[in-house]
Amino acid sequence: MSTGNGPGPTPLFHDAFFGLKEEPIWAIFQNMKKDKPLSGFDRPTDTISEFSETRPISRKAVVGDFSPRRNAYLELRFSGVRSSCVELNEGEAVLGRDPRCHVQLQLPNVSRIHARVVHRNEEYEIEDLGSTNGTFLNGVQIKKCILRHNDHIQIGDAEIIYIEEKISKDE
Amino acid sequence: MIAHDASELLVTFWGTRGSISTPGRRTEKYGGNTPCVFVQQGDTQIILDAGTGIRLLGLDLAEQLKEQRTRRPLHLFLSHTHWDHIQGFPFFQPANIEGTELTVYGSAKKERFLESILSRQMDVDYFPVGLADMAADLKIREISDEEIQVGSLVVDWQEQVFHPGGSVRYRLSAGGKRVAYATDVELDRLFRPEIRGDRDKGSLKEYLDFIQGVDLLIADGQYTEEEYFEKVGWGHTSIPVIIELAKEAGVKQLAIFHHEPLHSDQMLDFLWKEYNAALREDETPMTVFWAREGMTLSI
Repeated sequence: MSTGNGPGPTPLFHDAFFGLKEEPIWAIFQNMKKDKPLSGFDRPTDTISEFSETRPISRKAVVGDFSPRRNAYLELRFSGVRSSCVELNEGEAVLGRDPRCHVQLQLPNVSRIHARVVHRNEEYEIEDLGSTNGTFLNGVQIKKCILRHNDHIQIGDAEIIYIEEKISKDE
Repeated sequence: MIAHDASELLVTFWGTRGSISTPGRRTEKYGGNTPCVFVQQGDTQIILDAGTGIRLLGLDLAEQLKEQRTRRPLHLFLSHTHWDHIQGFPFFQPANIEGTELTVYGSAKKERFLESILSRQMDVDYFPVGLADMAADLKIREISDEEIQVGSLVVDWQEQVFHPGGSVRYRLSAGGKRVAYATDVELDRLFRPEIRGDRDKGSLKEYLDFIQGVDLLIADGQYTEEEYFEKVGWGHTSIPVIIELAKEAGVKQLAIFHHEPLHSDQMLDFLWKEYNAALREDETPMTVFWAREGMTLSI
């Protein structure tokens, strides 16, 4: 593949290397030292296609409106048996003994405000909120962790399983 | 950004995979990015290795930079310069933001200067932006025999011999807490009598002294015992050996790290269950877990 007079990156270059962003391809480099211009980076994208078989294309054009969604739940267990299930939304779910908590855990060794589950970057994370007895994930005391299907959370005497189902919007 | 006490020592795994990145559903739990660990205490920020995981750390730090009036210096310590430990560096966004103070540390025991090695991976044939074009205030330091004081943390280090090209292990200490980062080393060569030479006894003691009683040891545990015997001399440790050494040294928590690219989440879950069951049986107080991306521990 030839791109003409310089090593200017195509949008596909950006998508492949930097992913995630909908920003212009080289926005990431805009803060670079002004006295050291980079050859090729300020070239408009339409000139690239004249020299290249690679067509400018945005991530959105490829992905369209399809975005996988996941339903996630916290399954509360008592003596190993499922006692209740809470569906998580894209907000924040606070867990603790306090009646204002989204997930109330009236059990020994649970702090008033113990931990929270937050939806961030399309994933759910659990974060300990300075509890007295700690938050454990699969037996490890954590400050914070991205949750994965079947993770075992221990908050005081509360035993919780994180359940995740991936579904598409069409379903 | 995590809300935390300024005295709290936080360790976050951004990349845990060894050798090459392994994206995909089979590795989403433990992660597919190559080594990068972030350690912070108050305003002190240390990064251990610049594998592909550093790209995501960079995005997170760049978000924080938008909210901060003052910029906190960043200190990147490289265990060595094999691909999987430096490949993410060109994509580390704070290095492309003017005003970022970034110091990179690494071994002086290379044929070429560290700066030369890092700049060669950003040669125009491999990457469109050169090292000298990065906007940050970038300093590259080859470590000497002295301890390094970085903000509230003291960093000391040792060269590791059993890895092709060598590698460095680091120990970070603050307020009585200690974290050791010792990846990319073939400890089986020191520990297994059938392949150990007499001259290696000193190295074994040196290693055990270095990790003695640490609160967290992040250690190479790439292979199962069966796999190891097919890969003697490749520079990585088998899981049973690192567990035995950590137990002997009274390590409090052991994070098995540098996961074999062929090991799926299912496989790592299986290994975790198998070894934890054995540790529970002999009532070892040490916690052993397989490091996973997106996990933060408070030490």
